[in-house]
Amino acid sequence: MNNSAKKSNDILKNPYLPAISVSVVLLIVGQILTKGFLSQNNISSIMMTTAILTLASMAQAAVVISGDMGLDMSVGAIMSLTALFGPMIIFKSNAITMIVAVVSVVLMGAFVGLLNGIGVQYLKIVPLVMTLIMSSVVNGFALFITKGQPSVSVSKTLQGVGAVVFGPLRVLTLIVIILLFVLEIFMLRRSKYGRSLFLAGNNRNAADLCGINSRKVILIAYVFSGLISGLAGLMLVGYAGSAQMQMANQYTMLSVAAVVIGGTNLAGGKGSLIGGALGSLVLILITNILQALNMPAGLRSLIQGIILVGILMINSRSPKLRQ
Amino acid sequence: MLNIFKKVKKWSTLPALVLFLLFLMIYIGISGKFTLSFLNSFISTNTPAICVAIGVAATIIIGGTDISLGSIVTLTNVIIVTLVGKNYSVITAVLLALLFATLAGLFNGLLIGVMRINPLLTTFATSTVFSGIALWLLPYPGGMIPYFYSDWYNSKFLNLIPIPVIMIALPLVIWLIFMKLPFGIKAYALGRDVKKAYASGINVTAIRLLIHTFAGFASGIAGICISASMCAGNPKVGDTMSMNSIAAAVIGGVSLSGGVGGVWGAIFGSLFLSILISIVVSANMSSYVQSFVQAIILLLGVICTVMASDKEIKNKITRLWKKEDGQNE
Amino acid sequence: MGIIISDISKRYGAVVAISRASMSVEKGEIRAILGGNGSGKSTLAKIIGGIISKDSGKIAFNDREINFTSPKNAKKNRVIITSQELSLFTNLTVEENICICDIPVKTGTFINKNGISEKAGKVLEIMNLTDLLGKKVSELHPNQQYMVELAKAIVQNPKLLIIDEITSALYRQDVEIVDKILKNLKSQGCIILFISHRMEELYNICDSVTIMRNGETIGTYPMQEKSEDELLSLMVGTSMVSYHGEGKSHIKPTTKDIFIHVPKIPIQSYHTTESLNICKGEIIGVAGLQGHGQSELVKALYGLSGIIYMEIEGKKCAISNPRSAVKHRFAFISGDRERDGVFNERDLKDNVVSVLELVRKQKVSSPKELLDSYNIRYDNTRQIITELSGGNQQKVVVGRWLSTDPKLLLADDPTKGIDIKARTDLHQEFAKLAEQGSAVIIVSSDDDELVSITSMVERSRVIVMYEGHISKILEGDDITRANILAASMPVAKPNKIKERDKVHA
Repeated sequence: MNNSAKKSNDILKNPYLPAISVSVVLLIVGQILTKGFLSQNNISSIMMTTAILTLASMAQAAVVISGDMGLDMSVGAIMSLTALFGPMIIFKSNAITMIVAVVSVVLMGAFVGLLNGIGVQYLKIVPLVMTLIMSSVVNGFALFITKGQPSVSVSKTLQGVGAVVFGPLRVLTLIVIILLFVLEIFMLRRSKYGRSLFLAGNNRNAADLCGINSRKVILIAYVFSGLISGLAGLMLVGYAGSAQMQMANQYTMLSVAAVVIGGTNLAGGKGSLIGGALGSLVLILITNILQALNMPAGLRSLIQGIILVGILMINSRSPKLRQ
Repeated sequence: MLNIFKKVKKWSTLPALVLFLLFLMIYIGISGKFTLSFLNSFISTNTPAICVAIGVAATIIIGGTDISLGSIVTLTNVIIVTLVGKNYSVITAVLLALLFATLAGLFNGLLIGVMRINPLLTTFATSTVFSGIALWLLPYPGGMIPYFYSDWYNSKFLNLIPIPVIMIALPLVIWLIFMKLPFGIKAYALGRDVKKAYASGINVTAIRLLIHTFAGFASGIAGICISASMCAGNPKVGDTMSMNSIAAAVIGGVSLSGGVGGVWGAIFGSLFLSILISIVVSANMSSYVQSFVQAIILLLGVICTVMASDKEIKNKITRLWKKEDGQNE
Repeated sequence: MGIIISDISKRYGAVVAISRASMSVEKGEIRAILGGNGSGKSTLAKIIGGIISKDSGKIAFNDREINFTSPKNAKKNRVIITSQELSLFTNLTVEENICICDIPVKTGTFINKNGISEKAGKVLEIMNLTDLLGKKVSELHPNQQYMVELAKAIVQNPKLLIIDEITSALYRQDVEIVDKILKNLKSQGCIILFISHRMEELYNICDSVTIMRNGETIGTYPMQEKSEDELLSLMVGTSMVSYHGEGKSHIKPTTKDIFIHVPKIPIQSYHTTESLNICKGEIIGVAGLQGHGQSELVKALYGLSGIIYMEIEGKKCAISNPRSAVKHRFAFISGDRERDGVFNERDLKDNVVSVLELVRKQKVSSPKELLDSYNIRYDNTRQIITELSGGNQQKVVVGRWLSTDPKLLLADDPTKGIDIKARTDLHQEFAKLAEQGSAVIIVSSDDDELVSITSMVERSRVIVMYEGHISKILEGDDITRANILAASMPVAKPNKIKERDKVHA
């Protein structure tokens, strides 16, 4: 009796519970409000957009966990960048170019992440400001290189690959889910690096005194964030079929929101990638339902905002000053 | 005398002021002109940014931040255009929009002060709300405001003081009065440490409420000014303003950890960013390069000011100096 | 008249902080509240001061029931609390800090700058600290900050003043001033609740003492009627002798094999350097008045003040940061748990194995065994560390380091704010380490602690620091409280002290 009570208590304490239950409620609401919400087509589109946002939220989560009010506001800009340049690399229809594209896109993102990390860790610029400015540098760079050409056409190859990867097989979602669990378990929870990241993010001073190289550990979190964002950009353009300037900028804020909904503490030292994935699902479901209801864009964003405020009120209130 | 020098050296606004003056001279060097009319138009185009910078600096000083101010500017602009379109008089529209902006700030203040939600997250969420309302009211750029509104904005009060200067003065004077009240000291105390502020009997909730409302008001003023210079509505007009204003405040020596810096810093930081844009524009660069160059210079500016206020680096530099002196001896 | 506290209880979740605490204090009485850590004295103080709420019970102040809903509310009734967590704002000036609870205004609204300086100046004059006027609090020495904290309380004309531990960081000459001020307040009929661990002060200052244990008030006694040992056994609950001379008698070491030789240890705030020889199996106590370079000495040895050169067993090496210190098998335990020790979001396992697994790269097969071997009271290894009491948290941090089998243990006031039981446990661990041939350097603000711990091993010294220099090295029977005190204040004349304050403030 006592044991089962404890068990149910444990389930109630599960940090993923709010996000999971909200997702279920949203699925039901979506099916009631709109026709064909649970159709195969819509489900697959929900899964794919969720997969892309999940990648962005993973990038964001690493930086948030690294502490010191860490935020990566350049996630969207990096995604836009690689969404523009990724397709340029894939010009031939073979696996090698695809691999070259993935590698170069990842390097591109990692480089921006490295700059972010240097700015935050060595020049001691507050993460919010550093990554914000970096995002305008990246956007400016993209504009400079592409001469403001509004869109880069996606080569047939990538479209072809897209058909396979993003088609009914939903390989993309699968890849992201595998990546998610592998990184969560083997990088974040088990590896020395992941555990050092949690400690450095929780109490940097104490971590340094323990002999942990916090600076390096946190720097790597920013590089990781850039790297994953780069990958997310390539996936986004593959899914969308065409690239535009700054097409992914909204992903910055969405990724922050997803991470917060997923229960990651913005003060650092606590959180998970899986939480961010669930947060992404919640956000995508909300957007999808509102789109299906044919709401004007403004009203949609208004409702999203109100829901977000509601979630924050439940989820992120700081403790009372008076105990 | 030495004391004054020391005080100036410690003044947190100094790097921004120096940067601004330096780049102003570069601008004069490049364009070869420095006239009163340039100054007038420079100030009138940058009044909105300055007002938002004042607002955001206030929220940062009390240990928070506000990234929804840009969307409040947009909302103000869209409300004015919509009301004028519905045959309200311009003055009514402007005052109502200012009221809404202030209420938007109050809404932020309620969430942050009363509900105790992290300011960054709160204003992120509310910025979606505000820009959502704006986009709902006015999905595409458009609308018209009678031109006399613009004429008024470019005129001079009593033929003496340009209206934009008065518009800047509105939030600035309110802030300076705040600073003359016990409230001012308490606001800086709150910025340093919430728990200690509470234990010292400071009304944390009230200060947060008031400051965020003030930031909303300042953004409302910014929205009024930007509407006057455009005489039209644009649901994206304030998009970049939140971020730029934070950068301006940081360049102006307002510490994001709270309790350090002042609005003068934010004003000069904002002026520096503006003169920067003027230089880039007047340098005949292609428009594609412009935004990239701007961003790079912004980055350098922030790096310089942050390094200038970093004690560790300062110590290193002074030690290097001393070493060289020693060798010379 | 006075304050009557009856049956106050407070719990945090399942943890009972205070249960049915009761006492009454007369007008003009100075009452000591004494108890081990976690005995609930700070919680009780905060409840009276309105900082935290009570679950049940009544407080009557001057025959009127009071129920403060905020510190502001308490201040209106002139109930003032100063606590060990300083409430000063480092970005404001001293006078702004002192007056922040009631800022003088002119014409009813605007700040009166002269009024602020005057008001603050009056209090600082009593404290001999008028030269602090105009300075930012961030520029002050820690002990000066505590004095300003007290000034901030006094300026509010308290009718009930609660002093929670602020005197433990003060210079002795400052304590005398505090004594004078409190006696003056007492003569005006102010009630003072005085929380401190320093027995000497309690006997000097207080009229009576209330003992707290496990959240309950055990009893109230006239201060002079109970001996130190009696009070201690009341606090602990079982009769025990205080830890004076808990071990062997001091033996003067005969031979010395030098283990570590450090020619130059920089003490940055005084721009001085010191040298030190450390022997195997030795416990070196570092004494001195607060802020004379003791912490900086051990921090420098840990590579926290830039690169430091030393000879370890004859081999030259350089330690540039904590990482290289850990590589040379050094350990560092700070008394500031929150800032330097505990990972408050992580569980016990992560906390205890952090150095061993993540830095020394040794797999820990059973964190549970590790925790058990240091007498830590806990539920399971997956518990978040903040669920433990302060003393147990510190034991986890100590366990983290001792499990790495350090050659040199540097401890900066490691038992600050820990109850006597936990303190003795830690002393024994340190002594065990020294017996195994490692060296221990321990800084403490409590001279008794140094006398006690150095008596536990055969080879020990106490070095006394003054103004960034080692002013005296005590060995063997010379290690006594009196000798340490004398060496801490080589110039005890008041005018000299003033001069020194001018130089270093």
